[in-house]
Amino acid sequence: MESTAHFDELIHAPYRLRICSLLAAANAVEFGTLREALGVSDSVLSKHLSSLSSAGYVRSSSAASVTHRRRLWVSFTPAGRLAFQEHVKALREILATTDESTPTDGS
Amino acid sequence: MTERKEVVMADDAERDDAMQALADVRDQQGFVAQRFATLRRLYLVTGLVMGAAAAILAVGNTVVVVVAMIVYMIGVIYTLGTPTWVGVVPRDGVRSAGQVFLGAFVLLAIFALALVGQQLRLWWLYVAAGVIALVTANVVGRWRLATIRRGIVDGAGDPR
Repeated sequence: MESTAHFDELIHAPYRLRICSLLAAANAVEFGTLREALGVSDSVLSKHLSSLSSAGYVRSSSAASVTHRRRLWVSFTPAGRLAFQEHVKALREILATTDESTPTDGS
Repeated sequence: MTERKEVVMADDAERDDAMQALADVRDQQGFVAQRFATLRRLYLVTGLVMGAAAAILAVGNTVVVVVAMIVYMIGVIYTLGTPTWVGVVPRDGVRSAGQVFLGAFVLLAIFALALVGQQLRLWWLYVAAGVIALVTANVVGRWRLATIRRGIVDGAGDPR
């Protein structure tokens, strides 16, 4: 699906942007891996995931591993992946438009 | 004049913010890519084990053949699958499924070659199969890694 540029305030918050960047790079990311990447506590990560989940951007599922320890896997919903791609596009457009409008010396 | 200066400053702030956000996106892509980079050593180990499993057919014992076959199959799974200890499930597409199918076919054909060598008592054939298995497991594994890396960048719509 072709995405259009759309700046998303919910995604743009620093931690949520990083969570979305990690999720965009994969099909699913384990909760512990997200926590390690962000360097935050379980509660902080859960809070941000809950915001994204409420917007319908992410979903989580629990699966048992070979060590019989249950692991929580977080992934984008199709709407979440599209929203993130649109957000990245909007960021690139901001850069492109400000580059064009910046006056150059001697002009 | 002051108004124009404020507009330029607002543009600069917006631009810096967007630039920082895109840099964050790239950093996270780098983090995910780094998780998969650890698999390179896994491919080297599985390649060595698979090569040894093919070459050990020289022993000619039925039990050894069965154990070698099981070890080799586990090696194929490790080479083509993605271990969950990485903490990331890569983005798979049609290309990835085709790659797994082709990789499995080639790796299994190499083991079949070793079995033929054993049946015909051609020692050099299973030794050659062992060496080819070692090299192929590494090549196929790295090929998988390259596809996974492409999926990592594509997922964010390439924020360069």
